[in-house]
Amino acid sequence: MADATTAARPEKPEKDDKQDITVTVFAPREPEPKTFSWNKHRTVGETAAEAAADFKYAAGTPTFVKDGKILDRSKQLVAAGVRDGDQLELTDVGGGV
Amino acid sequence: MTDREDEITRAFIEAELPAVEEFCRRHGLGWTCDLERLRAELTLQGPDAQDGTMADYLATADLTGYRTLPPWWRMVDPRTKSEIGPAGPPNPTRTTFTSSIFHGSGVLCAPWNRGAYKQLGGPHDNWGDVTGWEQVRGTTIALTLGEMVDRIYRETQESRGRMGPLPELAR
Repeated sequence: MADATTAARPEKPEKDDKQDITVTVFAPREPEPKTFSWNKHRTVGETAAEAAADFKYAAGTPTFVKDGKILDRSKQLVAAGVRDGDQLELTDVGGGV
Repeated sequence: MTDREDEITRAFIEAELPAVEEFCRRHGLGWTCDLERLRAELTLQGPDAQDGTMADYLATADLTGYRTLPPWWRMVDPRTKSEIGPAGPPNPTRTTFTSSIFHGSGVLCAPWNRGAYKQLGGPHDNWGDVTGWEQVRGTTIALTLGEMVDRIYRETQESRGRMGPLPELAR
């Protein structure tokens, strides 16, 4: 029999702990974009390097651009503001001279 | 260049055109490519330093010998297509890129620009022979026309005006 200590408690809303985000990446060397899914705690640099390899880039210092802003390669995707469903662009930030 | 070499160059350019055209379309850039003359032009805008309006820029590319040789990129007078030295390129800010491709002389300094090599009159003798341009590392890398346009575009967006004033037009 239910009493005060066992009365049904309202359920807590489930935390949104989706770890993976899926994004669309455009690269200037290919007319068609590709879709990638990554853990949101991976860095921009790591994931950009993976995307670059998939687009057959040989080398370089790749990063992503989101809404016109070039992202910091050292930041985690989530900290850099990347969200599920985003469209990103691949670019290279190797130094000029 | 021989006719056969020009045909090979055209094949390389044609293979890369869909990507660079799509990039330019997405970013509202002007791109024309003359396959007969092996020339391309990129028109774009960047923020003006003075009044917040947009400044016009024009980059031309001599594609003769591509991909044995990199293109010869020039930032020229957007009104006349003349070479105007430091007034041609945008004045970059040190924000995202550790260093800019736009040199104070007006030359676009990158291993993917033929005009940057000292053997052809440019400032750089530290990248080896120009025919080895695709293997140069430790600096900006752009191995297709789309990637080159991307870098020129990104740096122009981060610029603040031109390096020098445009010359007065001759009457």
